Amino acid sequence: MDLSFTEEERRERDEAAAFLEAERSSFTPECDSWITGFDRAFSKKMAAHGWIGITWPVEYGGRGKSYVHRLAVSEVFLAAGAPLASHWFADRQMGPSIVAHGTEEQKRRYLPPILAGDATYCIGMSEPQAGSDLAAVRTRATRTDSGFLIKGHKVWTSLAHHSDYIYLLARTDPDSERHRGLSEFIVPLRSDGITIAPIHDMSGAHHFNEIFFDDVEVAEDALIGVEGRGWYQITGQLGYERAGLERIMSVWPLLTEMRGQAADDPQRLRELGELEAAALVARQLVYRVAFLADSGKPPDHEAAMAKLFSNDVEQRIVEVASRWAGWRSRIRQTVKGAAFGGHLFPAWLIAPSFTLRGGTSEILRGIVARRALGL
Amino acid sequence: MNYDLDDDERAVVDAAQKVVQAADPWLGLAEGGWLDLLLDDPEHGFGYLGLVAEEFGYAGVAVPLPGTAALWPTLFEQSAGRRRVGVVTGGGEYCEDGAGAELVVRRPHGYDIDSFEIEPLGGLEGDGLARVTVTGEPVATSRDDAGLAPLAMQRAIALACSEMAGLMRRILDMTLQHVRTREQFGQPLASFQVVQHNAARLATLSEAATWAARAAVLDLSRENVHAMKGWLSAASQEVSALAHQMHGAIGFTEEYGLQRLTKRLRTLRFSWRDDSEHHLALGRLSAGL
Repeated sequence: MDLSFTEEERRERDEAAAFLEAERSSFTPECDSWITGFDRAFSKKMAAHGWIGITWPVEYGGRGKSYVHRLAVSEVFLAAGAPLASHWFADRQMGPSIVAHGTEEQKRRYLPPILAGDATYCIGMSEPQAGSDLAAVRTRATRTDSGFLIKGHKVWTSLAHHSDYIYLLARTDPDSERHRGLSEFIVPLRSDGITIAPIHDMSGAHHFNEIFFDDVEVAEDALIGVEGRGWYQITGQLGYERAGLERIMSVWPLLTEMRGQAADDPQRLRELGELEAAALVARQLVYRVAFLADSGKPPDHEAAMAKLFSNDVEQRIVEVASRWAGWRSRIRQTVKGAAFGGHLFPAWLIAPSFTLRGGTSEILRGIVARRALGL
Repeated sequence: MNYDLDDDERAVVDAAQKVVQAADPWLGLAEGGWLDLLLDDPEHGFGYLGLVAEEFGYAGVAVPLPGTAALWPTLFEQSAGRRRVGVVTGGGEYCEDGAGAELVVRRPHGYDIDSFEIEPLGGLEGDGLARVTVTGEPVATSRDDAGLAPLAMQRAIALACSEMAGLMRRILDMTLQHVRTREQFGQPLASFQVVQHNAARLATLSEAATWAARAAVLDLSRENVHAMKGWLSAASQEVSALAHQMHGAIGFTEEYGLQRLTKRLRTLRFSWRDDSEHHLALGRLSAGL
């Protein structure tokens, strides 16, 4: 065992910190910045430093580093509340999925724009009738002479309005049920027949969308991987989606403010210490998942455990901050005097989503019970 | 980073599992050279001791490893031999592992059994809490108290973390065994989703405990040790509560083994400083105080 960073990882964390220091004036730290902080120019600057596609193979323009290396660097960016949304999903899961399942031609076409910070992807999984029960997906991709015709309806699609592509789960076998007969596609969002409608979340922010596919034609090579094997491809992807440090660090700008407002009160210091301790334990679980991925073991129930544990901690951070702030919790974030530099107000408004997005805690406990414990 | 045990570490676990099953595990630790590991192998020894402490926790065998194998050799740069070491952890007279101690540390000094008196105080089986009264001259004095004392204490705390993690893993295994075999309403308890979800929570806490303890052993910085012991102590209550709840009445009978484990876990929660103290210390560091 060795739970420390390599010299190279340490050096690159320092470089990332120096980059963020230099960029300090170019962004405002925000909670949930990996979903809501859309800034393509910032992503392009990160790309220029090689901070997109860190884990991807060198032959496709990546750097061939470990998942642990990617976490080590991304931890610095998440801690700063930097705007990562433009490239986050593609870097985290679409790229690795294309590397794993795409053809040579698809890799050459889709990976370079992501690596350059030019392409934004959204995740086309959930549907009105397929939330936690993802295998109930109804969106259809029907074979035509030249490719596929897509008809259906996706929902809760973060960032679709900013995205270039949607990574879509659709049913290719009309007679199939549940997990079989599903396939994955990359669909350009500027295709004819696509309508994107905004959904405002309870904070009033617009990152969710619903997307209607009304006989959208895509070419044969929009299909990623093996027709009918989409579910099994996606299961591997979800491991990476679930066990990133964003599952514990979404409210880091709030926690950073809390550190500065506990000094005169032993009770607050205790509560702060309790949160910091739990966050450090969560961090171990997340890094362990990355290590497993580096060892060639696709993260599964380990990722579910890491996310369950981490989401619990980040919701507690918001609750403890709320108690400290008392009535000041009610002051909207744009007003002077808003609690914790304005970070608490939006954090409370997004907190319910922590234990929902990327797999609800109930689904994850089921995964742990079945696949880790064999119950 | 490497979260896998290497071959040497696996061999340590295997050996520790044998030692803990011996008729006299303490003698086994002494004769196997485990108590002097820190001095004999400064590079890897402490990591190995953490794994040994996990196995003793798993087996539910309480031994004074923190004082004997970690604190005494760190503080005095010499072996305690096979003598059990008790440690006065605060400025007062209360001593961890004092009951049965043959050596006692009250920093910066170490005393042998002719130089102190012990009054056992612990109420739960295996709790060595004691009041110690020094009556004679020290047999050892720390060379550089300011430098070595914090490290000695952090190592001792880390070994307590390891024992707690081992206990929690055993509690999980016992609980899983119970819910798989105990039937109610004509089916195993494990077939009920509410039980599955409680078991998943318990398993998540146990997994977290393992890595918290190993993180403490491998990174002895003040911040990290406060964090891990603080979290383990706080989590221990939920672990015990979940296990007892899933076991039902059998779990709190004297005859069944669970109660010995949850008692030991409670003792360790409040040993080597409890969650409240560690959280406060970490909070102060975090706030820059």
